Amino acid sequence: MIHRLSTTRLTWYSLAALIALLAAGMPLSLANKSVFTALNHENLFDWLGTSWQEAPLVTAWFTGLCLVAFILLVNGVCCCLTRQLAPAIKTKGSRQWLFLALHLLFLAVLVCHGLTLGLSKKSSQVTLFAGQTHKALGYEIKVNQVVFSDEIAILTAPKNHQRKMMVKERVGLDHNWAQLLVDPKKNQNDARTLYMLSPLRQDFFQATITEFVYDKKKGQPGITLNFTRNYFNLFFFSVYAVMILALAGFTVLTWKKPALGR
Amino acid sequence: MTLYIYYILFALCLAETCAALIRAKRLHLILLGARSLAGCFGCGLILVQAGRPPLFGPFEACCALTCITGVLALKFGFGLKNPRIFYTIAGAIATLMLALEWTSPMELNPDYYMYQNLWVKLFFMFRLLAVGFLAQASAQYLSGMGKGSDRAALWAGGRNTLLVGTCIYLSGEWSGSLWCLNWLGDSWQWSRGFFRASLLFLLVMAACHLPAPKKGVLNPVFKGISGALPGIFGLYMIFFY
Repeated sequence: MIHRLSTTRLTWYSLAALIALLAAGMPLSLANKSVFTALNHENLFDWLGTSWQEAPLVTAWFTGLCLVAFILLVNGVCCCLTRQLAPAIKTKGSRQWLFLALHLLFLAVLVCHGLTLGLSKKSSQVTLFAGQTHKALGYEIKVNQVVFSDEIAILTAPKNHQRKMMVKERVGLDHNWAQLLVDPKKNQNDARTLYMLSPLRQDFFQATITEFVYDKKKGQPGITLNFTRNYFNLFFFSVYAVMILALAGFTVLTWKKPALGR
Repeated sequence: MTLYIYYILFALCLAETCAALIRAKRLHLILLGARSLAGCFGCGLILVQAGRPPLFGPFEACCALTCITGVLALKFGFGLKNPRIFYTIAGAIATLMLALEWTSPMELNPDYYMYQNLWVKLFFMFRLLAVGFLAQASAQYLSGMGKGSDRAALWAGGRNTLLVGTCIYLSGEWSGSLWCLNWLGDSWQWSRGFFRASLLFLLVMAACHLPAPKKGVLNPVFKGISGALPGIFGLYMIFFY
């Protein structure tokens, strides 16, 4: 059984199925924008609870994608155990070990994707103005100050014009910022400054500014925040980087004799 | 100025393909060198005008890709006994790439404010560089489908270029994941961009895991098309964003 699960034929068919499913995902995501936006903004199991009634086709597609990815994972593990480990031990060659490591690292990246998808906690698209507080993922956040130094006209323009206006000459990454206090009752003097692309991180919790907004009635700028808690980010980025290095090493070692891994 | 560079590149690539086809070896090498230099000049112009390397948009991609694929074709072609088919396909891919630009604006991409961030720059730079390598691998794999004496060298060269391109591509995706984490709070999100990026990587994986037939050898057409698909899809990603 394990031998059957470890074949290259199964790998290729799993990959072909994944390619077909991802290709189908493109028109599907265009036709069901709100369902995919919800998948990005909500916790997975909350999303599954509602999506199978609202969008059964997307839920079936999503389930199929996860299933095929799981088959690829099982195939990868079996292949490493039955076809790659023994030759590596037998020959003690660095090429074989690197080949095995490369596959194991890819499997780790695949598992990280799954864990991120299933276990990360989210509270998304929360718009706050100076002075407001919000409770998210066990933290209480207070916005002390929001400063938008660039043209306010950029924030009040329609969304499709905004992107064209947001050029380097008119918007600076460090021109606009917000000051946040995490758990204001505990740390009164521990305010942190956030910029676009420069989020607040505390343990596994992250508060990220996704955009600046402007309230015309109040006449003041605000921020839209995504709150996330993800335990695997550091591990994911480390394993991903080592996988790239392993692939580079394997390419160099097999440059003149590319029989291994074709 | 950008429009002139485009027309020069197009004329050079077209002439280079014709020269390869009619076996005008010396003329072909001159034209291949000239298009690499012209692409390099285009990249330099973008660097001077925009204060950054080519990053995004078909016009910027044209300059960077003609330069990268030109240099790679020059380097690889010298090692082949009969490089005519390889040179013709490499030239045809470059010409096709430039033809795809025809419907897009011939201008530099507006300097989006996020380009100031290092990870954003690296994401786009690595992606362009990777597609250059993958396009070169496409030329190698497609020309390896023929029965010439260079097949082994073309297969081996294609495989190496494909893997180097994949390393660069994954480095770009790594930078892009960091960009996504800093912008949206997740290292990846369900989007059209994610589907496309994953598709390209899966195509590379599929090309590297072709099932061996029960009898005989692997069909060269199957192998050639599988190896060429990542580069072709990479070009589609760049020109039909």
